[in-house]
Order: sequence, then structure tokens, then C-alpha cells
Amino acid sequence: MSGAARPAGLAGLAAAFAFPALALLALAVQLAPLAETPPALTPDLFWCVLAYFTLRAPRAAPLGMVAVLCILRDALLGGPFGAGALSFVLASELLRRRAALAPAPRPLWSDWAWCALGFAAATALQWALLLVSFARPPSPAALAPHVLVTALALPVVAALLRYALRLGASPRPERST
Amino acid sequence: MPQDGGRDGAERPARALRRILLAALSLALLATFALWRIDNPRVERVRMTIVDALHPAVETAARPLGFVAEMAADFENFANVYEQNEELRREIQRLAAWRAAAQRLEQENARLRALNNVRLPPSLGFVTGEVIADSGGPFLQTGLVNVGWRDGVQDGAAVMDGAGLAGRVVGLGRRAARMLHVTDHSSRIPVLIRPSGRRAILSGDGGRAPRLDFLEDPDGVRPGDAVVTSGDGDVFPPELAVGAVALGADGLPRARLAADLERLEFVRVIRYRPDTAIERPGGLVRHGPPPPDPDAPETGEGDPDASGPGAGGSDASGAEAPAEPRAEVLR
Repeated sequence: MSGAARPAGLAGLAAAFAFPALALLALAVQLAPLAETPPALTPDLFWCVLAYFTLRAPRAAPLGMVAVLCILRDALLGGPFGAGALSFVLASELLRRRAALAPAPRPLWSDWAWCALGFAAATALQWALLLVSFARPPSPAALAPHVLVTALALPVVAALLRYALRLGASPRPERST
Repeated sequence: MPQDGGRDGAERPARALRRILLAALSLALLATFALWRIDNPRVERVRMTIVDALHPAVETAARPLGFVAEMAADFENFANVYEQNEELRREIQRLAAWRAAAQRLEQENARLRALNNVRLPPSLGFVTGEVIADSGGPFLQTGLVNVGWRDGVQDGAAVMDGAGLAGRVVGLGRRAARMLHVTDHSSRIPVLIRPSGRRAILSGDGGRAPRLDFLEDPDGVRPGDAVVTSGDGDVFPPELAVGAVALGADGLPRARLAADLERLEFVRVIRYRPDTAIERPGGLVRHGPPPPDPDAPETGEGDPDASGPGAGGSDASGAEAPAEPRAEVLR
């Protein structure tokens, strides 16, 4: 994904603006009192957008911006303040590291697995922080559907960003002429 | 993405700097979490300042999404209109019987109050707000309401939907407040069970029906008994409707909530000031919020709890100006 890694000109600018805009939009959708679905069955769309950008267009999602957006997420969603941002920042850095180490055209399933693992790790870290601070976190069984639903939403969000908005496309192998 | 992971010598200082930044950020966020856990008011203030600042944008974004959701719900309703009609007819028949019973009880209640010369709560009003945001996560079951301290809402205030208690205010901004649902893991509310008069603590555990913990003599309580707030601790007014006793699948007594937390749209935030009690000679100096400000805008619209006996003493026009608690001398 070298093209996405060093986005050039207008495309790079668009990707840089697209990340915060899409992350905030995902937050708004998550926050909207839409349906009678319990929170555990609502996918974390914010994570889907964050994971997609840190894997496919990491330069459009710098650490500072990720941290600010994660703090906004914590403030708006009402979760454990600080713990949510910390876990998401660390998980996104894990994905960034993976994007830096793995060669650009990566198999889709491995990206999906890493994003899902990253979210599971972030959820587990929040749960552990609540537990060690003598709070009463929900049981892991209650959190599992949330992780599963978010993992299922990841390819949908990725496809939407990739094919509808044409963001974070993998580079095509160069053809010799 | 080989370019991002380039290992040039020039990128090494940048990577080191990035690691330092990440470590500092992690420590700062961890400290924020620790402060939040010890209920540092500054952290909640910062959070509510952010909510206040973003609340118009959230509301604007939620409107079209809500419209789409409503359309989907309307379509679903349309598809089930025949079944709903039948159900409504049955519901009307049931409610007619309840209406007669309620009227009889209301008359009886009025007679008893007159006989006992009951002193009604001096200040019980409410302000109606719209739920503009859900929690969107499984860790805390909360919601954002578009009323804040400028509307006279106080921290800890009870929040009700049309039918019963839905939660309490845990974060207060100027124009928005965060309510913690009664089903949340950290929610604990003292309640009373009618008609037996047993006390219990309503403990949220993430499920739809919160547990009734520390129930006095569970044998004297039957499924279907009414659960109301006890007013212990002077945070909530007494006798706000909560729901009915039900036996959970785990065999524990639980409360089937009267409020529909999954369809919260408009809620009433109760503005309650406990009755003044002079318990000792020195008690003439009262510690508590100041009396209502006559210049404050009138926001109450009527009875805050139509389903609870506490409604009898409500003072809808008792708008309270938000201010820091201070000591004052009673006249």
C-alpha cells in the first residue's frame, strides 16, 4: 500500500481530511439513538474506521489526531474515560506497526484478523483496567457479542471506504513495459 | 507498506521521538483514567465541556439518522398493523379496569392524606429533555440528554420516562447532561416494595431487569409487587415508580422496569430538594442548595410522576437556579 502510505497531492489531502471526518461520522452514527439494539450488539464503527486508516493509510491518521479523536470518543460515548482512548491508541499503534512491517499488497483476511484482534485486545485492556481499579466491568460473556459484531462490521466498513470512497487502495504491482 | 516501515538512519530519531510521545500519551491517559475512577470532578467537568461543545453537532447528525430509523420502524409497524390493532384492543380493555382502580385509589389516597395531615414535598419539579445520544458501547449504559445546569438540572437527579425511573444524572454540562441507566453495572438505587414495605437496593447488572439486592425478608415479596424509590439518602424523591418485582431466570428477585430504556426519546429530569428537617437546636443553619430563584425561567410542565403517589406534591413551577450549595439561616 505504498500509494496510500505516501499519499500524494490532492489524494493525500483528501485522505488526511477524510479520516477525522469519517471517524466523527462513525461516532455520530454510534451515538444516535437509532434502534432498540442493546449496546453489546452495536458494532464499534469508530474502531472500524480507525483500524482501516491505520492499516491502509497510516500517514492520514497520525498519532496525535488518533489520540484526540479517541479522547472525543471517550467523552461522547460515556465509557471509562481515558481507558478507552488508551486502549484504542495502543491497538492502533499495533496495527500501524503491522502495516509498517508487512509488505503492501497484504491478504485481506490477515488485515481483517489483525483488526479484529486489535479490537479484542483493546476491549480486554479496558476490562482489565476497570477490574484492577475495583470497578464492576461487564462479564466477558457480555462483551463477546460486541467484539464479534464489530469484527463482522469491519469488512463492510472497509469495503465501503475502499470501493465507495476509494480510500486506502492497495498499490497495483508495476508492469514492465 | 514498505515505505512506512523504512529503516533509514534518518527515520530513527523520528521513531524514537514517536515512542517517547506514545509513552507520554499512554501515561497521561492512564492518569486521566485513574482520576476518573476516583471521581475527580475536574475530569467529569472536562468530559461534559467536550459534550457541551459537540452537543449541537451530535444533535444535528442524529436527526437525519433518527428520521431513517423512524421510517424503518414505521414500515415495520405498517407490516404488523393488524396484530397491533388486536393487541391495542386487548390493552384498552385491561387499562379500563386499571383506570377504575386508579381512580378509586386516588380518592382513597386523598382521604388518607387529609386524615394524616401529610406534609407534601416542598419542591419537586422537572424539566423535560430529549435523549440525543446513546452510550454506543457495552462498558457503561448511559445516554445524553439535551438539558443541563442552565435548565436547573442537578447532579444525581432522577431521570424518568413517561412510565418510570430510567436513571440518574452522572455528568452535568451547561446544555447537556449524561444519564446513567438503572441497568448499568454501577447503578445502585434504594427502593421500597409495595405493599409489603420491604426495602432493597436496585442493582444494575447490564441486563434488562436489575437485581433487588439486600432484600429484607424475600418471602414477604411476591412477583408483581410494585417497586418504588424509597427516598433514602435524600438523592431521589420517594415513591417514584420503578417497576414490578419479577423472579429472574437465576432465581434472584429482580425488578421488571416500568421505563422502556430501549425506546427512550423524551425524559423528565426531576428537580428535587428534600424537605427541610430541623433535627437539633443548631439545625437552624441549613446546609443545602439555596431556595428557588423567583427570576429563574419556568420550565416545569406538570406532574413529574403521574404514576407515583409522589406526584401529589409536585410543584411544577418550582424552578431552581443552579448554584453552589451554601449555608444559610432559615427564617
